[in-house]
Amino acid sequence: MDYVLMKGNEAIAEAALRAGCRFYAGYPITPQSEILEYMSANMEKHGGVFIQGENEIASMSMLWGAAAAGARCMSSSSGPGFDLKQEGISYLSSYNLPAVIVCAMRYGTGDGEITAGQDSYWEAVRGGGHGDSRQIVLAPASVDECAALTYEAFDLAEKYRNVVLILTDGAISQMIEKCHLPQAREHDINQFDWTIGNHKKDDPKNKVTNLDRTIGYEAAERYLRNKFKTMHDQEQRWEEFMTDDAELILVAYGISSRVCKSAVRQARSEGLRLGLIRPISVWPYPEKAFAHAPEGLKGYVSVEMSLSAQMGQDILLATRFRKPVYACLTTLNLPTAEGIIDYCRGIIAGAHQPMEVL
Amino acid sequence: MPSYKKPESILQPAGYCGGCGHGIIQRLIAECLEELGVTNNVVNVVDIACAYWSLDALNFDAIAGPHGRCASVATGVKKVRPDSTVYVHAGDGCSYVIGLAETCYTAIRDVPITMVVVNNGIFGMTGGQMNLATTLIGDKTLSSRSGRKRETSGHPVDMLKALSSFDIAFAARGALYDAKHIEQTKQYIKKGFENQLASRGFSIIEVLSPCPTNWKMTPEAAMEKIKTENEAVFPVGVYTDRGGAE
Amino acid sequence: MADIIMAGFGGQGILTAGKILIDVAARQGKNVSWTSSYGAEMRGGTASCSVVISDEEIGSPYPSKLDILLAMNDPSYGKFISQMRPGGVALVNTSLVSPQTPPEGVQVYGVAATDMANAAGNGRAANLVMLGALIKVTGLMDDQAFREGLESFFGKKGHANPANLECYRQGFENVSKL
Repeated sequence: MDYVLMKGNEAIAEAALRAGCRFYAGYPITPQSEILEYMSANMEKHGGVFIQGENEIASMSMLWGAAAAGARCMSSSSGPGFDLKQEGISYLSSYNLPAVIVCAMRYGTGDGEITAGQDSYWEAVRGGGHGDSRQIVLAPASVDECAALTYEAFDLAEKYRNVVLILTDGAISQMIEKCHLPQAREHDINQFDWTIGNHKKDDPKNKVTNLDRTIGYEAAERYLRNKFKTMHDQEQRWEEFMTDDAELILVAYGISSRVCKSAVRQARSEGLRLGLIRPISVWPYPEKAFAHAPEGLKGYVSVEMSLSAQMGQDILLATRFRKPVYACLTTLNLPTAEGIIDYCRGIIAGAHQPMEVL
Repeated sequence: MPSYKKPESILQPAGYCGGCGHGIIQRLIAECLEELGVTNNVVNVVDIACAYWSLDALNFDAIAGPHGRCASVATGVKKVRPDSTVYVHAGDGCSYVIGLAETCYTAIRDVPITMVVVNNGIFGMTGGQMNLATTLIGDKTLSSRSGRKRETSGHPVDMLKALSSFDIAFAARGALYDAKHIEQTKQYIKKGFENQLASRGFSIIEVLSPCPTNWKMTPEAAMEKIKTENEAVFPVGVYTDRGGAE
Repeated sequence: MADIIMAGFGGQGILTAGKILIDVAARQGKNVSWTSSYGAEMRGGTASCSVVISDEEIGSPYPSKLDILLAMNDPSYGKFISQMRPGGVALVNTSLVSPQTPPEGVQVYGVAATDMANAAGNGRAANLVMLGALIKVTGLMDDQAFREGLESFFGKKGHANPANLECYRQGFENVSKL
């Protein structure tokens, strides 16, 4: 068999181990705890370090140390736990340390619900704590993609010396599908010249703190601007599905995109020409996918499990307000193909207004 | 004859205020590491407060932790680089207040690092506010202007007593107000590093240290205050020493 | 292609039944997905899982219309029966379910799964009785292939037990239209 049946969370953890991740620190929270549990069960077999932290902040601080010391490292959380990770993400960004952080979104502010949601979008694509920082944010829509994107995330993190977020949700994290796992490989902790604790390296010693302190403000600003631009231009990823002749294009990522794909098929069988743009990277947002709208397109429909049209705002930016953008928001309920199709029929009948920016 | 030559690991002057104890502590750390012959493979974890000066002053790899999380950062480094000598140089605000959980759980995990905590009874870098763990009852700070009151701010805590209730390698408190105590403090710090080199677990050395600037005293008066007031609440000596085979 | 919901009390082996189903289907080259409802409670309450088996790429893993419902208790039948497509098949555990009239075009079959599993001395295997019934009625997979898959599923987990196959066989042979 060339596949294993596993949950999204397990696929993420196994792919990380196969990518050479040898340091994991985290704190349990539903619906991502299987990542932590999987690491607990398997990290030592690979000669790596698993630590259940006393909280998210401590776990991220351990990661800051481990990343600076050259290890491929990962942490994961969800909802309120992901809030606490922002301090650590900010620190990792301050010295351009590579790390992979997973957020399995749930719904609601505060404690919210433990079930699936997509309202950590803003926090993921605009977050990272205070200051200017950018994280590459990859949003898998299948268990296979959980593995593939996590595996690649470690390379991207090192290529750009940047945090890469894997943004899943309670549904993608918990579902079981066939997963084709990537080849296992090892990572050399001495391969970069900026790491600490590599005693084979000659003087000067390395100091890991804010990058601007090390190379000066102007150089740091140039470096960061250039890096953000390169990531923005080169790392846009998306999937298009039946958009060529679409009257309305659904835009969705993660679990919502799965339902949207079913909705597109079903709508077309009923004579309604829907299409789908599925962002795979949500930062950088795949603006290129919106560059040319098909003739006769009446608008884009953001389908999200949130109260506000969080990703919808990125569609407005990507389309430069050229087309109406509608928002089909299902909050804590999974969208259904029927519900999406009804909403789209409503748009065509003039029953729905384009989204407002709130 | 004792040698007063500057340790080679000290590269440049640090920006500590006059009469501050941090500089003495930083020097003791450098002396200990040089005497143990491990200067080529050291990682200094500093807090983003007064200890930050030692990041550039010393010729060691160094990393500045998020405020309060030094013990966790050191854990991450030590686990990835077990052959490195990893130490924390941080204040009592970092280690005992905002980062109490991180300090305690690093101790509970018995991570073989050496943690040097500067107890100066005040938040120095932010300009002289009360330290919930170490400001004495009655001491005036910018956030306890008429003196710390137990009714509103609780009481200072001997964290070494608390930490000694965990199964750790070594906990001791030193002072800097005379040569005898400086030498004793150095021996504690050295012991902390020896423990690490022998993989004996978590060692913490707290040092009663003056902050004349924020205490608004002369350096001499600050030393005298430690001797007569602070040491009464925070006695010097060894709190726990698990020992263990070489 | 089949959109399936399996539901019952927590502890009836619903989630495992779903995992067995996708395990065997995946071996036969099908695309599969399994999702479960998860709540704050760790034990008891109702449990359900959605299973999609398809030759095509699977869109939503949470089907809103069902081809097959496997209901092991009354509340599950009541909750999901209205989501059935015309032509769909509902399988109920008649030990615990007294099915109300189904929607137009939905056929209901039953087997006394809990009683049969208890009689076989394998009380926790009522889920396997149900699976036997499901394979017989829907023809979703080949009987022999399913038996082999079942053995391999438990063998892999180190829980091989001949009583498992016996429960499956009882379901396969005793299911009847209600």
